[in-house]
This record gives sequence, C-alpha cells and structure tokens, in this order.
Amino acid sequence: MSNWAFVALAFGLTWAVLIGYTVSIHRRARQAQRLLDAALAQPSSVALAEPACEAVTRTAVEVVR
Amino acid sequence: MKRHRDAEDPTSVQRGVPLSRWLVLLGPVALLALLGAQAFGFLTSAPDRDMGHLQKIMYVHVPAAWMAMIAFTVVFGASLLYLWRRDERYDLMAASAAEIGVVFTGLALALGSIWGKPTWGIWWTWDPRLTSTAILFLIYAGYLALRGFTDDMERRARWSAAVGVLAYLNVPIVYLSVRWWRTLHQLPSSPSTVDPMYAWGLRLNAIAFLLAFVYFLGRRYHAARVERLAERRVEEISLGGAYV
Repeated sequence: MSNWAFVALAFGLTWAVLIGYTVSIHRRARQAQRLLDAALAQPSSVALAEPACEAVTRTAVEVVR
Repeated sequence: MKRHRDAEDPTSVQRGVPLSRWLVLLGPVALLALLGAQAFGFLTSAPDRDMGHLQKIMYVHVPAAWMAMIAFTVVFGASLLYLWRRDERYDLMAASAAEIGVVFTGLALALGSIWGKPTWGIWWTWDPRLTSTAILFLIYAGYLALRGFTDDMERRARWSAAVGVLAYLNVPIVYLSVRWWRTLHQLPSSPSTVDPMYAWGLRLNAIAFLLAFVYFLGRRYHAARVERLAERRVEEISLGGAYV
C-alpha cells in the first residue's frame, strides 16, 4: 500500500465514524421521542383514577348525608 | 446524605425536552469546520522529511485522542457533581460523555494503528501508550456496560459515578506514559512541539473536532433526557400509580 492509501484510509475511517455516530445519535433520539409519544398517548393512570375517586367521594358524601 | 433527584420533573413529561437552536446550528458549523480544517491541513503542509504524506494522519489522530481525554474529563467532573448533588442530570451528562469518549478512543486507536503500519512496520505493539489507551477504552466500555446491569435509576447513577471517578485515574497514566516509558510512541504532539508549518493545521483540526464533540455531547445528552422521560412514563403506566 502506498502512503496515500494509508492517508485515505485514515481520513475515510474518520468520516465514517463521525457520520455513523451522528446518524446513530439522531436515530436514538427519534426512537426515544417515538417511545415517549406512544407512552403519552396511553391513558394516564391518574386520568383513569380521577373519575373513580370522584365517584367514591360522591358516594361517601351521600352516605354521610 | 442527599436524595437522588430525577432529571425530569413531572411537568416535563408533557413539555418534552426542547432542543436548543444553537445545538441545531452547531451540526452544520462543525461539519464545515471539519471540511475547512482538513482542506487547510492538506493544502498547507508539505510532506514531512521522515514520514512524507503520512504526517497528515496527525490532523485526525491527535484531535481524536484529545477529544477522548476531554470526554473522560467531563465524565469525571459530572460524576463528582452527581455524588455531591445527587442530581440525575449529571449522571446523564457523564453517560453521554463516556459514550463519546469511547467512540473517540476507538477512533484514535484505529488511526494510530493505520499510522503505525507504514511508519513502524506493524499494526499493533504492546507499547505503554498503546496498551494504556486500550485499557482506557475497555474501562469506559465497561462503564457503559455497567449501566445496563440494573434498572434502579438511583443505584445505576451511584455505581456509574463511582466508576466514572475511579476510571479517570487512568487518564493521566495514558498522558504521561510516553514520558515515563520512552519506547516506540513519540512524545505528545501539540502545536508547540510540531514543525511551525503543521501547527495551524493541527490547531484548526483540533477546534473543528472540539465543535463536533460539543455537538455530539449536546445531542447525546438531549437523547438521554428524552429516553429518561419515556422510561419514567412507561414506569408510571406499568406501575399504575400516580406520577410523582
């Protein structure tokens, strides 16, 4: 291999790593965002619990009355 | 002892983690800086007396090694801050920097090997600088693997911070190895030790790599925070409890 071949290999590898890592970070961020969006689309346990709590409170108030 | 504080408060689940405009701009800026610095290095440096055109590998090998050292210094600082403040954001910062440090260390090792073959006649030798750098790579790869051992966020952060502080002991050993044991690897290269013709090429490439490093760190930290938010939300749903 000539000296230029080693230089080309070194610079080619550098660009491959820098671009590859950039792509990997972006992909990971997108996956995390998709996971978060999907999780946010699920009904919250708090939201599910609220009507039940209200019903219990109403019943309790009626019983006391 | 301070309590572990989550990186995200309950309101940030709905808000998300905003990405700074500066960080978005930094990507193309770093790309242009890398292209410009490498072009400058190629156009302004005549072949070296001993190494010929192989000298140009210095413009990527040396900055890659420097960025690895900076990354591990960030891991050390963020780990200390986590142990002191118990704020999970420092843990996420340390983990992000460790991953980038491993990437740059691997790159520096590979580039050193490519440079070593035509100049030393071998791809690899158990020279103190090479060996201590390979150990550094393995230690921080181990740090990243350790983070997968437990799902308990607080324990993961505490263990990682302890390893992040201890692992840093190897960094000065790597740096000083070429002074302590004078073997095959040359003394550290810097703009003050190389021929003046190569100094600006090295400086500009180091600055360009630094911009790329800051960009990587910002994006990786942002991704880590979004991941953490998603984890918390999934935890909340699976536990069926209130988000506290």
